[in-house]
Amino acid sequence: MILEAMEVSQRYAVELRGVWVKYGSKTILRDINHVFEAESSTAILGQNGAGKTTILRTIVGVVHPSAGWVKVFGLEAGGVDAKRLIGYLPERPGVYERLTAIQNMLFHAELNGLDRSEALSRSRALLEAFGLARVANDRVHTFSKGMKQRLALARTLLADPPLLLLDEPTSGLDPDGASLTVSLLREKLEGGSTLIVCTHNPYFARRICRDALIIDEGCIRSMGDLESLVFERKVRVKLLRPVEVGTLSVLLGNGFTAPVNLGETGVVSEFEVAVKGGEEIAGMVERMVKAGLRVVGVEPVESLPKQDGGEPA
Amino acid sequence: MRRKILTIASKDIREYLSSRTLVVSLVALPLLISVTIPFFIKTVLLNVPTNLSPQVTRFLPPVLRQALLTMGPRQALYWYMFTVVTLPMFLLLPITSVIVLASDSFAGEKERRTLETLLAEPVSPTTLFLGKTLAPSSVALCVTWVSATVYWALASHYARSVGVSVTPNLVWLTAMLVVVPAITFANVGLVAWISSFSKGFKEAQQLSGILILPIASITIVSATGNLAPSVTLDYAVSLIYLTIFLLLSTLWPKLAKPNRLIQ
Repeated sequence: MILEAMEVSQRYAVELRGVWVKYGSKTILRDINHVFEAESSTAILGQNGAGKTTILRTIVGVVHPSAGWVKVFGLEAGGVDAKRLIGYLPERPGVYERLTAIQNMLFHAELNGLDRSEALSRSRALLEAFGLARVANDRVHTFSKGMKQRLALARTLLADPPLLLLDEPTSGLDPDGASLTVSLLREKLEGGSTLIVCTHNPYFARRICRDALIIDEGCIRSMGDLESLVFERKVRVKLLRPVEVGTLSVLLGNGFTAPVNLGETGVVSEFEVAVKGGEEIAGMVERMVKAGLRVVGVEPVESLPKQDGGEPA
Repeated sequence: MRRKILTIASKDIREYLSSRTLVVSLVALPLLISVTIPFFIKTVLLNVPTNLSPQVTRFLPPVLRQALLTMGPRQALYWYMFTVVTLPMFLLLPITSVIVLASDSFAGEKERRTLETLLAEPVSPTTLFLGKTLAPSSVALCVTWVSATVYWALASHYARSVGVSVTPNLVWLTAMLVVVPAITFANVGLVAWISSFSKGFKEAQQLSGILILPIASITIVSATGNLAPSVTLDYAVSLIYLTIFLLLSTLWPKLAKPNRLIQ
């Protein structure tokens, strides 16, 4: 039944149509309409309380919309069949602290219908992959925050689900753990999984996601290619002779921002300009040359998030 | 479905056993009832006179008066105390165990932030409810049955010392095999219900305390001699509690909306 449904709507991993979510009298999501295509990777970005987590919870079915509907590979979200297709990592790891790591894994494996031997072999393999093999028989309350997060990530991948919903997956992870997570998630994406990640960290998002969805006050503010939506691409331009900032502002428009350490003279020979792509760079150079400026170099600068983004993971 | 119910239940039991405080609180009351009460009865009845005047006999409960026709006062009192008076206490035992355990079922998961993960698993609400009620029920039943066995071993030993043989009669056996499971399942269902809508373990436990009242009332009325335990009473009590459990397991999946559970 699941496979049949998946064949019918293989194009869409998740469909949200007119979704409103309320907690009591508080409205969290307002008329969300969005489709996550199968085998895509999307980062949901937004400030605290924007509704990112609620979107994931609605897709999993642990929160029911007050209006609208959600489908997962064509199945009604929240149903047992739809849940079988999802690997969900909540905001908090949600691991059983009184149990050992392997007991945690086996519990979830059995709930996902894996037989005992398969559950055991997959659990051991994932604990090994996340660097937890040596503590597999230790109780989780002895684990650090990062180790709990690794265990939760391992649990999420247990049943090899085609859809992964991850809420702040790098929370509490050290750089090694984050890199490990990135490489395992990339492997899953190459294998045809669909990935939806809620994060505050655009640097982490760009390592695994192609698309972005920006949420603000429960509404979708923008969506599209993550790189162009979230990051500002800049180039550094070097001129043979200094030129007045005012002239550059007129020539280059909004992309140009005057250097912070501009001297009293008001002239610069090296500056940065925000650009969207190669064509824009060519046009910009052409305009400067036509205006009589001698351009001696144009080199890319590391792109930065357009809004608050945090440190690179 | 059965496998998932057992998986949830065995995970919960494993969690109970890993908490020393929980194990101690589970063992303390049963130990008190099964060991201390027979000893207390034996000590109190040491100085019972060998003959009772008709004025005194007139005020005794009918069951005890009937027993006095076939045995001496001391023997009759031993029989009465061990077989009749203490029975309702063993009906209280599963409730107290259940309150300790079942109030943790949903509220504990909520408090430890594991409920969201559990709700995201491919498990139907009915399976989840049954899994969550099976663990406290089986532990409470085991605790009650083990306590009753210990109690009867001590009671028959003490009774033999005054020349009377006491064994669990039909009322006792029905109570242990029918009433105790019915009370246990119904109370687990009620506590799990309360627990699923409570913010935390303590709130759930405090609210669940009220469930002791019906059986505590039976215990008090029975101790005054105005209500003699009988097989009919056993079945009546069981029927009421089983109905409660069936209602709860049917209604819970419909009423327990996830939005309310994870808040």
